Amino acid sequence: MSRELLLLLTLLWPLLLATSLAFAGTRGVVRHLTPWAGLPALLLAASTGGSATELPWFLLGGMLHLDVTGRQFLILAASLSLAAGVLLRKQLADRHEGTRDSLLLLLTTSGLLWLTLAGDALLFFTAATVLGYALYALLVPGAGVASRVFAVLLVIGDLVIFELLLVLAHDVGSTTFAAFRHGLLLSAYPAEIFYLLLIGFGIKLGLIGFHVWLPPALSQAAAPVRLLLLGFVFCIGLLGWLRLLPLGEVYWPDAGGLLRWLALATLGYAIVVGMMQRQRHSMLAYELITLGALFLWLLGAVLAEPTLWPELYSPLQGALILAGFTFAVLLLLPGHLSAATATWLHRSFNFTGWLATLLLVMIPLGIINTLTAIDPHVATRFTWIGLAFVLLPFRSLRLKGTVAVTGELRALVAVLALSAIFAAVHYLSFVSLESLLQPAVLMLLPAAIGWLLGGALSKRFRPLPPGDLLGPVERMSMNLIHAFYRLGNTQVATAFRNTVQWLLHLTRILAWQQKLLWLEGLLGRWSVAMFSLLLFGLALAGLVGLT
Amino acid sequence: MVREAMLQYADIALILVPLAGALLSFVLPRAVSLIGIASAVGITFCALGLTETLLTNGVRQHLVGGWGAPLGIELRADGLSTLMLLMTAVVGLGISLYARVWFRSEANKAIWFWPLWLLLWTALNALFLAADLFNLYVTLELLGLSATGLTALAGSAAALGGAMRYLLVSLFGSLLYLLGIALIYHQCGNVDIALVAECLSPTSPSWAALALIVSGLVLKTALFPFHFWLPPAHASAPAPVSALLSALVIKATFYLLLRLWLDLFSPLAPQLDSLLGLLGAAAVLWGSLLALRQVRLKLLIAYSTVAQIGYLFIAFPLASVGMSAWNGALYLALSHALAKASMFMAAGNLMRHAGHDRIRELDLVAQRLPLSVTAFALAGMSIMGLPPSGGFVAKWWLLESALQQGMWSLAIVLVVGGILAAAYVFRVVGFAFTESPVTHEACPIPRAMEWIALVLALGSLLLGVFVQPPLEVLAVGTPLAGGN
Amino acid sequence: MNQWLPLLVLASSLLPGLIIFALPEHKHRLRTILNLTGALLKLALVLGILWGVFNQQQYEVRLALLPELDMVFRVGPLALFFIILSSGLWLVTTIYAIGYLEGSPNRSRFFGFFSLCVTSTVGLAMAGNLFTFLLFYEMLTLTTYPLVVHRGTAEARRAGRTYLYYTVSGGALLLAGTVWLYSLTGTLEFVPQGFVSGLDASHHQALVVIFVLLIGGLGVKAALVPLHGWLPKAMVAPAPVSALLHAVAVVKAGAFGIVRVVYEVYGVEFSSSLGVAYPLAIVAAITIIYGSMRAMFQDNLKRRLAYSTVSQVSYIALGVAIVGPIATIGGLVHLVHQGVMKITLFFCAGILDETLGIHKVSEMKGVGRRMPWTMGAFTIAAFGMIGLPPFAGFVSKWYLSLGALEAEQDWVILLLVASSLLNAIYFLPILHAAWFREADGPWPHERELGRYETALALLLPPLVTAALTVLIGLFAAAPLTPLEWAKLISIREFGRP
Repeated sequence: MSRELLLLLTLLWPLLLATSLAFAGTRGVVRHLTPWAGLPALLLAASTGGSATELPWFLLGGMLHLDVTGRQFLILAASLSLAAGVLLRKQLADRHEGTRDSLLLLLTTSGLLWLTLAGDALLFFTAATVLGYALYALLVPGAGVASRVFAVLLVIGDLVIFELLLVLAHDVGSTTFAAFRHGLLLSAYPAEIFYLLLIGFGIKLGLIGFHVWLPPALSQAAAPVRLLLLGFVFCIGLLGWLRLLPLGEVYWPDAGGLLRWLALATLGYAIVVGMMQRQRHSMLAYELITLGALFLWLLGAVLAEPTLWPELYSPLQGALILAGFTFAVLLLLPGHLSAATATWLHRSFNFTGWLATLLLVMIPLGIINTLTAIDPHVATRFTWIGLAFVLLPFRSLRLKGTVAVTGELRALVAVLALSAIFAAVHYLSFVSLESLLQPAVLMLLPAAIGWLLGGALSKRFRPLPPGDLLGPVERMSMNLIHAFYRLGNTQVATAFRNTVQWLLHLTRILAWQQKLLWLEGLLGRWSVAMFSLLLFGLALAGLVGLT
Repeated sequence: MVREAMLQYADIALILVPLAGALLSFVLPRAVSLIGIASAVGITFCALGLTETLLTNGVRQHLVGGWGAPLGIELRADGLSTLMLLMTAVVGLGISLYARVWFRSEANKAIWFWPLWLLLWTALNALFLAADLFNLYVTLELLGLSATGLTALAGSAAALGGAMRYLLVSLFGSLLYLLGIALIYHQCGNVDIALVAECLSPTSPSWAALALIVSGLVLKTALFPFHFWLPPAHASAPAPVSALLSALVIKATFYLLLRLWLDLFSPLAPQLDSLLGLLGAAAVLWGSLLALRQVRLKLLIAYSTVAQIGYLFIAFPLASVGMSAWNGALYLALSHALAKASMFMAAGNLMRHAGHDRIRELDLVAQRLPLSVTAFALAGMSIMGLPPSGGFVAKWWLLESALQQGMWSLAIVLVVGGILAAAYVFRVVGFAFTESPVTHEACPIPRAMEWIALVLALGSLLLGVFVQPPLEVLAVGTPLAGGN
Repeated sequence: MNQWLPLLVLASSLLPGLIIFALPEHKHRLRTILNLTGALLKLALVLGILWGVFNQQQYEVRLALLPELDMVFRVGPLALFFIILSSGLWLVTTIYAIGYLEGSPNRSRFFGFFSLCVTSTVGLAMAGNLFTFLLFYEMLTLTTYPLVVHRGTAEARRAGRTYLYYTVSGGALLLAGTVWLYSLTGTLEFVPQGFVSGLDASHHQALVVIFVLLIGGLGVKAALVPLHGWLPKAMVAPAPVSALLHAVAVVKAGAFGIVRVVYEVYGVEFSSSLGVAYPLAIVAAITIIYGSMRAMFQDNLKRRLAYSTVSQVSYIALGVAIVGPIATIGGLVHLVHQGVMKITLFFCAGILDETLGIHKVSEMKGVGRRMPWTMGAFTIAAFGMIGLPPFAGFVSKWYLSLGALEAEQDWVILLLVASSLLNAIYFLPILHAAWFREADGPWPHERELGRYETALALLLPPLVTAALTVLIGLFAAAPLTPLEWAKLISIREFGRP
C-alpha cells in the first residue's frame, strides 16, 4: 500500500465512520468499530520515511506532512484515542447514548490525528477546533464547571491563535508551517507574534494564569476523557510550539528570557498549589503543568542559544513521548491502594504507580545528561528545575485511591506502562548509566521532600480547590458581564429606544395634529377662502406688475 | 370609407357622440345604460382614431363650418389635447362600465347619472379640443354644472352640502375666468389663443386678466389652499362619480391652466411659477398629512387627490429647463387619472360591501374583497410613486429636473410626499391581512366591479412600463415648448 | 438566446407567482408543483448562465423604458454570485415553506408574493444600472410587506408598518440619490471601478452627499445601525419568510446594493479618495458590535438571530469599505456564506417552533436529544457564524482580517475578534443548553409530524444548507466555490489579484 494512500486512510477512516453514523443501517456497526478508529494511524506510524501531500482544494489550500516529530505525536495520539475507545466500549455499545459518544470520540480521534499530520497552519487550526469542541462535549456530562471554563478558554485561545496565524499568513503569503517558520525570522512584528503565540498555545499548555482550566477538567472528567485531554495538551499545546517556532535557526534572547521566567513562575506556582491538592487527578494536572513549564524553559533556552537545538532535538522528542505514555498510565491508575485490602492486583497497581513516577523522573535526567554534554552552564540551571519537577510526582504517590477495576483497565495499564518503559529505554539508550548516577542521587532529595511534605502540608492547610485562581477570575468576569449587560442591553438600547420613541411621539401626540384639523376647518370657511383667493389674485397681479 | 370618414371627423365626433348620447338618454330613460355604454365605446374609438391621424398627419386644426378665427369655432388637436382625450376616453370607458353595474340596483339614479355624465364628457372633450378662450369658457361652465349635478346624485345631506359648495366654487371660478377673458377681449378684440398670444403685453389690463384667469382656474383645480370644496364633494358622491371627478374633472381645469400658461402667460410673468410651485409643495404636504388623519376611506382618497394636484403645480417652477418637468406633470396627471379612478372604485366596492367606509373597521371587509384591495394597493403604488408605475416615472422626471436646477426644497417635498403617500396607502392595505369573522350582513359585490378597478390600476402600472407611446403622442406639435 | 436567458430567469418565478395568485386555496398539489417547477427551472437556467459566463459569454438585455434610460439586465460575475445564492436558497426555502405552511390559510397569497419576492431579488441582482436596481429594490419592498404581515395579527401589522416606514423612507433616499447622480452624470450604468470618478472636482461635495443618500437608502435594508430597527421586529413573520428575509432577499439586497454602489458606481479607489469609505467602515463596525451586544441578551430565539443578522451582514459592508482586494473577497464571500448559515439557523428556529412550540432560548434545554438532526444543523451553522474552521464563516473572517491587515487598518482585526467573541457568547450557551441540559418539563406545544423528528419537508432544507456550510468552508479552495468567484470579482474590480 502506498504511503499517501495510507495517510489518507488514516485521516479519513474516522471521518468516514462518523459520516456513516448518520444512517440507521450502519449505526450499530460503526458504534462497534469506533474504538479502533485510530488503528490505521498506528500502521502509518510504523511505516518509515517522511512524506508530504498537497491538498489543493482543502480549506484555503492544505498540506499533509509526516515528519519525525509528527510521527512521535502520531503514535501518542493514536494510542491515547485507542485507549479511550477501549475504555468507552461498553458505553458506545449502548443503543441510545452510544451514537453521540461514538460521534464525539470519532471527532476527537480525527482531530488528534489531523493535528499531528497537518503540514499547514489552517489544517492544524481546524483540527484543533474540532478536537476542542468535541472534547468539550465529552467533558460536559461529568464535569459541568470544568467544561464551562474549558469552553471559555477554548474560545479565547482559538481567537488568539487565529490572530497569530493571520499575522503570519499576512507576512508570508502562505499558510504552510515551513513558510511560517521562515516568515517568523523575517517578520516585522516579532514581538506581537510572540505574545500571540505565548497566549494562544500557553492556554493549551497551562501557562501560569491560563492554567485554570486544566486541573478542574482532569479532576472531574471520566477516565477516557482524561486520556483525550492529555492528547489535547500534547498535540496542540506542545506540538504547536514545535511547529511554529524556527528553533535552532532564530536567535531571540528576549523571547527566550521571558519564556524561561514564565516557565519558572509556572513551575513554582504549580508546585506550591499542587502540593495543596487532595485530589489525585487535580494534582496530576499540576504535574502536567510543571511538565509544560519544563518544556517551555527548554524552548526559552534554545531561543537564547540556538546552538543547543541540534543536540537537544531528539532527546526532547523522546522525553515528550515518554511523558505522554507515563502520564497516560498515571491518569488511569486509581491511586495508592492501602495495604488493608491488599491483593496481588492492588500491589501490582501500586507498583505500576511507583514505576510510572520513576519514569517521570527520568525525563529531566535525560535532558540534564544531554545538556551537560553541550553546555554545562545551562545544564546546571536546568538541574534545579528538574529537581523541583520531581517534588510533585512523589507527593502524588501518597494520595489514596479507591478501586473500580475492569479487565480493560488492567490490560490498558499494562500496555501503556509497557509502552512507557519502551519509550524510556529508547529515550535513555544513548545515555551511559554512570553519568546518570549523580543527578539521580540528587533527585532523591526532592523525591523525599515531596513524599514527606505532602503529608505534612495536607494536615496543616486547607486544600485549595482545583483551578486555584478560578474563583476570583470567575467573580471578576461575572462583574464584567454584568457591566456589559447594563451597557448593551440597558443603557445603549434604552437610549436608542428612547430616541425612536421620541421621534414617534413627535408624529403621534402632536398638538399640531389637532391644529391641522382646525386649520383645515378654517380654510373651508367661505370668508377665509374668498379672502385667500383675493390675496392670491393680488399676489399674482402684483408679481406680474413688478416685472 | 367609414374608417376614413371617422378619421376625418374624429374630433367633431368626440364632441357630438357624447352630446347625442346625453340627449338620447334624456329621451329614452329605459335604455340609458345601453346608450351610455355605446357612447363610451364610440368615444373611445374616436379618440383612438384621432390619435392615429395625429401620429400620421401631425397637429390637426378643424374649422367647424369652414369659418376660421375670429368668427368660427375652431377645434385644434395637438399632442397634449390628444393625450388628455385619450385619458378621458380610457378612464371614461372604465367608469361607464363600472357605473353600469353600480347603478343596476339604483335605477332611479341611473336615469340622472347617464345624461349628466355624457354631458360632462362632452364638455371635457370640447374643452380639450377648443382653441379659443370663449369656447373654453362655455365648456368650463358646462363641465361645472354637469359635475355639480352628478355630485348631488347621492341625495344625502352631505352630498347636497358638498354639491352646493361645489356649485358655488365652480360658478365663482368660471366667473373670474369670464372676467379675465372680457379684459383680454377688450384689449385684443379677439379670443383665439394664438391671436391673443401675439397681442398680450405687460400692461395692467393684461396682468389683471392673468390674475383673474389664474385665480379662477386654480380655485377650480383645488390647489391648496383652495381645496376646501374638494373633499366633501368627492367623498360624498357615489363611487363612479367620485372617480370621474377626481380623475378627470380636476385635470380639465389643470389642462386649461397649463395651456394658457404655456401659450399666453409664461412670457408675461416668469416669476409666477415659483408662487404656484410653493402652493403645490404646500398642497403635497397638507393633503398627505390630512389624508393620514382621515377616519373615512373616501375622504382619505380625496385628500390624496389634493396632494397629487400639488405635484402637478410643482412642475411650474421646474419647467424652465428641458421638457422633463412638464412631461412629469402630464405623466402624473395620466397615471393619477387611472389610479385614482381605480382607488375610488375599490373604495366604492369596499363601502358597498360593508355599508360604511370607516378605515378602522375595514379588516372585516378587506379579506373578503381581495381583488378590490389588490386594485387599491396597485393604484396606491402609482400614487406613492413606487416602480413600476406611471407615478414613479412622473416623479423621476420631476425629481430629476428639481435636482438639476438645485431646487432642494422641492426635491425634498417630492420625496417626503412619496413617503407620506405610502403611509396613508398602507394604513388601508394593512387591513387586508387580518383575519376576522364576518359580523354583519355583507352586500355581495359583482365581480365585474372589482375587475374594472383592477384593470384601471394595472393600467396605471403599465404606464410605468410603456413610457414611449404616450411620450410620442405628447410630442406631436411640441405643445410644451411654450414653456421656455 | 443570450438575450432571453436573463428574462427567462425572471419569468421562471414571476409567472408561477402570478398563476399562484389566481389559484384557489385548496389546489395544494398544483401549487406545490408550480412552485417547485419554477424554482428548479430557475436554478437550471442560472446554472446554464453560469456555464455560459464561464465560457466568456455575455448576457445582456436592454429594454427601453425612459428616454435615454433603459432597463438593463446584465449577468456578470457579481450578479451571478448573488443569483446563484438566491435561486439556490429559494429552492430550499420553497420546500421548507411548503412543509411549514401545510394546512394554514392564505397559502396562495403567500406563495404568490413569495415568488414575486424572489423575482425582485433576482432582478435586482441582474440589474445593469442603478435605475433598474432601484426599480427592483422598491419592488422588493412591496412584495415582502405582505409576507411580513402574513399572519395578520396586530403584532404582525405593527411590524409590517415599522418595516414599511423604514424601507419606504430608505427607498426614497435611494431614489433621491439616484436621480441626483443621474442629473450629474447622465448615466447610471454599472461599470467596474465606477463611472463617477471622471466628474469635475467641483462636484465632489455633491458626490459625497449622494453617497450618503445612496448608502442611507441601502443601509435601511442592510440594517446598518441606526437604521436596523425594523429587522428584529420583522421576525414575527413566518419562519420561511424570516429565513428568506435574512439570508437572501431584503437584508442581502441592501448589502448587495452597497457592494454595487461602492464598486460599480463610485469605484473603491475613488470612494476611498473621496473619503467616504472610511466612515462606512466605521458605521459597519458599530453595527457589528451593537448587533452582537443586543443579540446576547435576547431570550426570544428569532430575535437573537435577527440581531445576529444585523451584526453579520455588516461584515459585507465592512469588507467593501476596508478597500483592498483581499478584504473585498472576504466581504463578498460573506454575502453567500452568511446567507447559507443564517438560513439554516432560521430553518431550525422554525422547526422548533412548529414541532415543539419553542420560541425562547430558555425553553431549548435538552432539545438536542429530542431533535438531534435539527440541532445538529443548528450547531454547524452557529459554529460557522462564530467563524470556526472548517465552516464557511471561517473563510470570510479569514479574508476579512487578512484584508484589514493588508490595508493597514489594524483596528478591524480587534473588531473582528470582539465580534467573534460576542458571537460565541450568544451562540454557545444555546448549544450548551440544547445538548447538555435536561428539559424542564414537557415541550410548550408538541406536535407529531411524520416518522422523523419533524416533517421531512422541514427537516431536509436545513440539513442541505448545513451540509453546504461545511462543504463550502471545507473545500473553499476548490473551483467554482463562492470563494473562487469572489476572487474573480475582486480581480475584476481591482485589476489585480
